[in-house]
Amino acid sequence: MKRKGYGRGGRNEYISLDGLRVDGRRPEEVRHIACRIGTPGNSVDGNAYFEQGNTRVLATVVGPRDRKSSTHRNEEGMDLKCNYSNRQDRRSAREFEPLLENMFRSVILVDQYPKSRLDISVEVIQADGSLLCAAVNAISLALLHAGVPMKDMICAATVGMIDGMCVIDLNGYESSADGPVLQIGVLAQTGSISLLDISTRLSSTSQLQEMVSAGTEGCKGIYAVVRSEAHDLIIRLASSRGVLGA
Amino acid sequence: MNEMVDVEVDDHCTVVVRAATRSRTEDVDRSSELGQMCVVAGDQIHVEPGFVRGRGTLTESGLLIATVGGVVDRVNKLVSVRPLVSRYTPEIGDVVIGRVVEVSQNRWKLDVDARQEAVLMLSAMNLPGGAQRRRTYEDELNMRSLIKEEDLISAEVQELKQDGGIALHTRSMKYGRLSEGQLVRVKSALIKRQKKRFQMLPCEIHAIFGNNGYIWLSEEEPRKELEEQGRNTETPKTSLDGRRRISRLRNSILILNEMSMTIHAQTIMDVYITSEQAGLREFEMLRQNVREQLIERVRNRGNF
Amino acid sequence: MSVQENVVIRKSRRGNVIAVSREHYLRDDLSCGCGLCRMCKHPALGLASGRLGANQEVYVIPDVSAVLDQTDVILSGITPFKEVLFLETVISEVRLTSAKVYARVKEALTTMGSSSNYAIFSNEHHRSTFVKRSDQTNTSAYSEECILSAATWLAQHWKPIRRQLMLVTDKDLMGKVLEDVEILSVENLVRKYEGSEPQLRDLVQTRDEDSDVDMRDAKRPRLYPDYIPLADAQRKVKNGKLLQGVFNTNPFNRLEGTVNIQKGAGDEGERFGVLIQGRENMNRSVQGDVVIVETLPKEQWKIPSKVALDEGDDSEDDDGSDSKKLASEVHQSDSVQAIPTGKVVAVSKRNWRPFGGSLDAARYTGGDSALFIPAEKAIPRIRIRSRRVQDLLRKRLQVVIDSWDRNSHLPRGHVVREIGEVGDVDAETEMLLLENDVPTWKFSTAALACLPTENWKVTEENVHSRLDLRSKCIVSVDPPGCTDIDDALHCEERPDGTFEVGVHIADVTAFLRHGSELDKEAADRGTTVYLVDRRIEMLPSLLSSKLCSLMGEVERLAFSAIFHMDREANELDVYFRRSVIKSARAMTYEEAQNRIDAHRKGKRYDNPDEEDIAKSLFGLASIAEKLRLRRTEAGALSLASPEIKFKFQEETHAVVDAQTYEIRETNRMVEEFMLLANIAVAKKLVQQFPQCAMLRRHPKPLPEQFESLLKTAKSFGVELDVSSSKALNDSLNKAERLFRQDPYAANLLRILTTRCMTQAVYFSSGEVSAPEYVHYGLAAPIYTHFTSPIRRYADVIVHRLLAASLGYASLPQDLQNSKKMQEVADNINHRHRCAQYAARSSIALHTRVLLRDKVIEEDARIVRLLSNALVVLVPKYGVEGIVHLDPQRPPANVDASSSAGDAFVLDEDKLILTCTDGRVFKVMGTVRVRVSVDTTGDNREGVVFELISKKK
Repeated sequence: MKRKGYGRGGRNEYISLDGLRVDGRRPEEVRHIACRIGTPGNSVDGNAYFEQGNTRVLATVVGPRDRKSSTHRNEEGMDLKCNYSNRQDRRSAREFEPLLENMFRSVILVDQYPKSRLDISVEVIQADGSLLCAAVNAISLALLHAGVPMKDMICAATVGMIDGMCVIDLNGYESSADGPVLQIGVLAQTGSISLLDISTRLSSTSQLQEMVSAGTEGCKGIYAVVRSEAHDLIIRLASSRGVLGA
Repeated sequence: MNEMVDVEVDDHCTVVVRAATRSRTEDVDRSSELGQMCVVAGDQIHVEPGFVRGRGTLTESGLLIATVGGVVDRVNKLVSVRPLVSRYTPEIGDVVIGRVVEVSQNRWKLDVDARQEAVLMLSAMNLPGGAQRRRTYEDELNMRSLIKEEDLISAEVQELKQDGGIALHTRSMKYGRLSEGQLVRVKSALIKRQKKRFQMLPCEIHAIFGNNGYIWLSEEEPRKELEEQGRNTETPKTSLDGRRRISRLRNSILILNEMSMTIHAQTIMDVYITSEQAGLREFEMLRQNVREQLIERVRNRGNF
Repeated sequence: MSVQENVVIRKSRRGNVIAVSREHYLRDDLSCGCGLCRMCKHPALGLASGRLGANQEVYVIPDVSAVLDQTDVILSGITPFKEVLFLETVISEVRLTSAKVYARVKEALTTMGSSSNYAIFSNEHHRSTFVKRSDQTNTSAYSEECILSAATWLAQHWKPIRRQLMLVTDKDLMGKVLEDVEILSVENLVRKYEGSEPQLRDLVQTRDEDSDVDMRDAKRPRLYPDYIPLADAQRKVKNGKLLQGVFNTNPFNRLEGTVNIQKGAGDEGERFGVLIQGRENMNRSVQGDVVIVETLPKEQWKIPSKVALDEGDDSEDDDGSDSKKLASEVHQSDSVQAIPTGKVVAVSKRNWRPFGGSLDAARYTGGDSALFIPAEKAIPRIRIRSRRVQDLLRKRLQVVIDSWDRNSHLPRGHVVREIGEVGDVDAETEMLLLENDVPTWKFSTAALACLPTENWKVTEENVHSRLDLRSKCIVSVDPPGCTDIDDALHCEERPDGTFEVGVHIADVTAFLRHGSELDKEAADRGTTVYLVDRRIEMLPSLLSSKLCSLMGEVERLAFSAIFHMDREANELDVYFRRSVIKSARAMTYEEAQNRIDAHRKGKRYDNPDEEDIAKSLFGLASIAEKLRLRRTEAGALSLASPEIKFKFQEETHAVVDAQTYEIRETNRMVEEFMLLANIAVAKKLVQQFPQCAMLRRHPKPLPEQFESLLKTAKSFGVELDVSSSKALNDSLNKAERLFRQDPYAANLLRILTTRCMTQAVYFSSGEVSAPEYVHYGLAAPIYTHFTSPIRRYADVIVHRLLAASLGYASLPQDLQNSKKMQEVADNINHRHRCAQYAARSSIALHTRVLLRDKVIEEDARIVRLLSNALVVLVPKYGVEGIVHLDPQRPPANVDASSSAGDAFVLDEDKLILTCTDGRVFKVMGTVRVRVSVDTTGDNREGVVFELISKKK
């Protein structure tokens, strides 16, 4: 039997002929971002709700508080523990937790808090791709809310390579596409990279460079939203407390 | 929160429209003087040469960077960032209220909601009988009879250790074990730093404002019971009316905390009185819409 | 931008209900698709960057049904279809429905520079045209709403630039009314423009409602049984009550076919064919359709017929006669040989494509209607209607089938393309390419953008990162006129008496990045197709005959396999490197042969370069000799095919003569080294990537495949031993000595042996167990193709694998997956097969051109006996065809043929056909035939053989 057809039309198309992604974004566009710092009625030290498209996560921070003597992990500085939970995908916790812990240990001024510990927990409320990155962004905000001193804030974004094009902030559908996916976390002000996680082998270093620079741009876009939200919160707190007048 | 998607399971498809950007900035003026003074961690702070680096900042290649979100404080050459939200940072002389978490050989460990637990040495306490006497081995054995786990204590910060440790003392009549009252926990930053920590509020309730964000409310004046050998003496029960007033106070404080407003006798009483005038019962006060209306009315009274 | 949220309720694998919500962004910055519009921005961001222009005042917007059913009209590029706007809704629905149509639309949208403008409007993401989907609407109603909303908005939007908009439909939107927007059916639109553009009419797919033929048909009796509902049929297939498979027509008899059934999955499943006899049982199935059959009771099982049915038997007038014809063939007592027989009850998937062919001029009686005769014999004739039948009679056409009603003998279709005059070499060539599914379109703009510049040169960096072999005396040996040189060789004697032999292959992967548009294009094409007078290239000619081609005295990038061999040509060591080479000379086989012969005779050159070349060639030739000997001993088959070579006249490119292909020692020498390199690479790949190496295997033929060959040989007095390839080769060699007085007989035997073999195929090593890797014909346990990356895509993959195994680059994700690798291999196999068919058809075409207007008498060999005909091969021209034994028999006379069974007796064991008039025919026997080209009649222009007299 002769096989007819071209064998190309049938597969999923992630970027339309008009250059739009399945949800209507351009390749370099980040989804709609909303965040809320400090949800009411919560007795934890810091918490933040972060939403990137349909990915919704809640991060809470407890501490820094006294470390029980039994857990002597880090004698000099602060003991940082992260708990990531996603009901749909319980396996990812084991992968993400050490990543998150290491990343934030590098920005938090751990030396200022000897003998104390900090607990971070992230709960995925709704998953639609770019989970690790949403978790990073949410934790950054929660830490700010808890008043934990940090060198800088971290912003993260996912970058995919689909049909030879760099695509920022993959949603759940796009995450199932073939091709390399890069998770990049950037110190927002200095621009130095604090997280780089690639799912597959890349065929060339130029491809990596391309993806990294695209990802850095994406992070900047996300930071702009995150920072203004955080800044607004601080202004509101300051004014309701009449700090200036005092 | 945005309007979330409403889904009926048997439907094939539901579409909900929501706006892309919420306008939450309606009451925030970013370009104001205040806006300029507010920074986020990682922001660069503009300073004159010769500045002195204060709290909440760090210097990196000559630039001053904020490490916490808050308001920039400039006192002469000293530049620091005051965090608007953070754990309690103790200072010598602060009055704190703490809960005992551990009793060890010659000390109690107290949770004062700081980054470390506070320590109350047996030697830093006035023992029954009031006499300044040596602590004996017998005293150490009897520690639990004085203060045991889960007890609430009011105390004063005596010393701050190099490694961040906090030492407390109760060498005054006013400090000691607390009972027959209610503890309210608020953000420590909201407690106004003032001289009078022990107050009799106009509604005839005694209050202790701990600097660490713990507030103690009781009908009776906190007794100097330790002196009166009073572990076993009965404290009079709080009257029903007293309980009502305490509840109302507690809820008033919580509302203030929620709205991130400074907490001191005046503000608490403002909410208290407004709620009374509004004819609200104690348990109704914390309802979402009531709470907001209440604050609105308090604001309109112009005392803020 | 704002967000929409689409929530789809889905059932998970475990049976839970999950709400999957997807975002849907609405934008304000989208182009409306018209380049004249000043209100929109028109950034070209996607592949489809075309914009509508000023060709027409009217812009056409087709709906889903129009694109799907009237693709030819929409994409014809004829007024009024010079400005066509495709809505996103339409495109996505087309993509889901038909990959073929989508591919055409995509091609039209992405190819620049045609005279007509095609553009895209992403209406579903445009804020003004987005339609909120309510819970109740189904998909088609929703897409209709989207289209109407988009049309209404565009009509308003385009008012300032004075452009009208016309929504064309085939059925979906029929009867809808919109303000400002004209809604027309494609046919009505075509009718409007019929005066100026008559050829448009023929592209329109006819619809049942408006055809007066149908009025007549309605009164006619039903000729075919109804199909049972497809859902029922498919359920019964699942229960095992009915069978489903692909329908194949018997190439010698169009009234018979088989349906190949695969029961059970994988290789363990049972495979068998169900015989379908007679028009009624075939029930409107066409070659390639996926049909559902019901098997008949065992008493009615038949044996496949051996009658060759002549042309022209399926006119509409001979109702029912075919059953008689077949009945005469079947002997009721033959139930032993009978195989399962059945009838088609439903068609689950039509495999109708545009068929090439021409109209039946002989039977044309005037009027609008004519019969179309497809070139592929397995396809039934198609009735077409056109006002321009007169013009089309002598043309090669492409026709699609529209429908086949149960009361019409033949399917009905319409002309989609006129290719050219019958008999014109270009038109005929184009037709054979179309018929063999050879991609003939130009490289897309995006693909061409991946090319390096024309004056690309080897850089210093290349030299540093690669093995520098520019000082070696490397030569390439190819047929004369070859421009895509992908291999070159060198041989150097080392001081210790051993040899260093280098096989250098063009490094195509240096230019062809994995996953680039060009790479996808090349992967789709799979292979370069060589025809007699042209080649259709897999890669653009800048690469294939310039930058990659290992031309003489030019520095080129190569992938080299360097062998270290001792004097007896034993492989001591081998390594692979990317290299830079500079070929000393590009030689033809003949030049190289002369050089070697001269060296043997002791000729020496004063010029050291010339001397080096001669020495290198001589060394290569002597090593090749030893390799070849060893390989033959191991059991490699030497096979044959009736290949011929055409001579062209220089200026006119007209064929003037044919001759059989001459094979020199140098041909074999090059072949030997290619085999050496291929096998070495295959070993390396399997070692490195046991799960995803691209290999090539040639399965050992099953004993039953040899049955007829053994019979044939036996009737000729030759015993063939087929127990192993070595035994087979030995016995073939023995036969060669036996036929010393008749050398062609031995060659014929080899040709017949070749035909017993299955095709060699590419495969992924993870899909087949290791013992099956074997290449039977080459007697190699493992084999692959490494040496022609310019013209075969398999070699490109192999290059990438090899590069990865050497650490030059990491292996792309898709190539790490055995299943994906197998998909790639399947496509290459398909393309490769098509290329072979196309090449054969091209040879046949040129043979016909050569023989046209001539009548030649030639000796022919009988290769197969049928009960009333002979299949003969004319060695001189390599043509093969049927000789009908009773020349008196008028082609369409049914009664005469029914008595044919009596006139001839076929002894199937001894393979002797005896005629009542005393003539006896044996397989491989020689007959004298008159060969001519039939240019009259039905335009099929076949080579006609007539028996003149019989030689023994």
